[in-house]
Amino acid sequence: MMIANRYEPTGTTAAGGMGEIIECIDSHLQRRVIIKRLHAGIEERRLIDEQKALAKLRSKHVVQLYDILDLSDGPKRDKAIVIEFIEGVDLDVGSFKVGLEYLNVLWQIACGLRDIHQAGVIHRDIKPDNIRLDNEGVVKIIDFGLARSSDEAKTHSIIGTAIFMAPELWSDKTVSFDQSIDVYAFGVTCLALLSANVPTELAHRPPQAISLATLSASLVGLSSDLVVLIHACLATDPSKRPRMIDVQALLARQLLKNQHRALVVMNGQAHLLDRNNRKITLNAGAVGSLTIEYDGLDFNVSRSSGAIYLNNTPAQASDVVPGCCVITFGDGSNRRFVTFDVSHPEVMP
Amino acid sequence: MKNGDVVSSRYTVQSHIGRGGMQDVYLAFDQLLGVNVALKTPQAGQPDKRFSHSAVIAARVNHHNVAKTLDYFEENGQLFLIEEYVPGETLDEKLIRFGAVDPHLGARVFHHLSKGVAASHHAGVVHRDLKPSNIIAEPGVNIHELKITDFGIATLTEEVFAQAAREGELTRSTSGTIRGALPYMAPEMMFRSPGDHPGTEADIWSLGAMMFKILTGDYPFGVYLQAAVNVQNQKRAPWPAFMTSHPQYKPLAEELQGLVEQCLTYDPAKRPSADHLVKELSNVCYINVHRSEGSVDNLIQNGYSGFATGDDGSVFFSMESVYGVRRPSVTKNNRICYSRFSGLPKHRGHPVVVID
Repeated sequence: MMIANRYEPTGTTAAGGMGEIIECIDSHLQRRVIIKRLHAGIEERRLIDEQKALAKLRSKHVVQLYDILDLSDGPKRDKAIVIEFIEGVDLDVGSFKVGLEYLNVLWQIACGLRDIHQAGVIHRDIKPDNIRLDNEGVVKIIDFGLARSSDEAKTHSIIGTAIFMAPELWSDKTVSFDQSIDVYAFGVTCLALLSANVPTELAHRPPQAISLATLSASLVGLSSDLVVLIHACLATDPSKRPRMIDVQALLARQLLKNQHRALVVMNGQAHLLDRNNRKITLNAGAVGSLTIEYDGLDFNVSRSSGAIYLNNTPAQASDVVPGCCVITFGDGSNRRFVTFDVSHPEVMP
Repeated sequence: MKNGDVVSSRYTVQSHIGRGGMQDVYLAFDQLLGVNVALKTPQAGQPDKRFSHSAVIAARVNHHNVAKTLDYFEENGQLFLIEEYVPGETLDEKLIRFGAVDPHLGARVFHHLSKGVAASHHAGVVHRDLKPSNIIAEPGVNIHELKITDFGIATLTEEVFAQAAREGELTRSTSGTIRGALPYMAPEMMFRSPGDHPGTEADIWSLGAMMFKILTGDYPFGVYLQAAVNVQNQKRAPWPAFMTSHPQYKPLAEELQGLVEQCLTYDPAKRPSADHLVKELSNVCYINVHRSEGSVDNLIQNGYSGFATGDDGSVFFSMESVYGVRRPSVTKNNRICYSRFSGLPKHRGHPVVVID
């Protein structure tokens, strides 16, 4: 039977985090959509408000909301949301290995959570099952959780959900929580994407603090910066967890490791610095010389002698060279200028 | 339609914002979801079938570099298409301000457009009318968010070409709206005869022609009928010297020229696929830092460098950093755009482009 005189069910239904899910064909545009029935009440209103807040944000990592319907079955009056059907695959537990693809997916999830938090929304149910990779390789965060507050969350017996719950949600008291529960769940997701066997500290109910050393053992091959970052996401104290905007930035930086290029122009001659050619020494006769080395993330001054300036700031060993700068050799009218411009590929979903 | 009109008990018309090839476009407010949307409706005399067909086709593409199709319905015998509204201006309008866009920002535009085109090709959709006026970006000198819109004459690769050929596509090509597309139109589109089926390769040519215009400020083959003549005689404008005259731009400019030339190969079979372009462009290094706008305060060192001030403070810049034919100065070419990099007492501006 046609829903709202427009949506034709395909016969595929499932119970989801926030109600009944009906896959349909939108007869107007001849494309698949998902209809999610919400059960009347406070949660329904909150969910619709959240979906509207997210619609305003237009994040590429959040599923598009098309329509809100009134469904009435006799005395029952429920609302339903119509959202886009994402062609792709859900992320699987244990389906990744540490590497660029893994980092890219983590980065995209972090971008999505940053956007969601920017809209003032808490997802409440971050886990691999609720993250989809579309056919264009774009991560979509789906299935915003309905009830993740204390008791309801605990009685929720879906295996694999409990382990993503932040320690503060296990309190017997009514707990208040904030966006940092998503940060915690993101931390567990980072581990779950690699293996179904997460460290026992995290499998405890409530979860226990995990040491950096124990965590490192589950993240072999990951740079120490990122292990420290994920460790912070898993902090038992919510206020110690980083914000997703910072998580995103650190992941983006790691994705560009060894991808930078510096173009150095001296006396009209261009020189390139990159992962294959990491070091350059610029000599300006009696004035002095400057050595710059690329460590995979930054271009650093390793040695500087004489009157040498980076964008007019005296160059000193261990300085990080600004993204684009003019290097000045000497003072007064005989100054010589060298340009140093750093570029890199754009990381895109 | 009048401002204040409500359609589908949901969309309130705010203002008329444009006239495409076959449709009127309005800014409307979606009362149900609380967001602005673009409302499109066919102009009088346009066949409904074509409009509804392009709606269904555009709705197949789901990518953030393509404007999303949100809703489609008929009310009182009139058809309406609701599309994602992107606040901003078209790339056409941006190009008027910029003249030529420097290779760093240009590479970014190329990368994002290739992504959008690749996604539509994956969905079996050929745009066939790619041109700067069909690309929307945010207002100002940044081009962070690019969306391809207006699948006005988009045609489903497999299903619909037979029909287009039967109806004689060329008869429509004489209309005024096609003139705007001519400078970017692939040879096999221009000179097609019934039974010809230009495919995804036509979009790649258009992408190359657009990138030529973006990087040089000039049309690769001229405008109007001159474009058709030059395309037929395979007479493309040469790359201007300014693209490679500064060593700071030369390596990237040459990389981009190579890719654009591949797109503008006369034999469609020899053009790269959109996927190939995406792969190439994802390895290209460019400076992708927020752009600021400012006015030139003064020049120093006999005009070798100067200072400019924008909303976010003052910068120092060198003439070596200036891309394009226009040179910044206090009196003429006073407005410039640049990225800022930390320095003392002023930050450094680079790359620098004179804007209107």
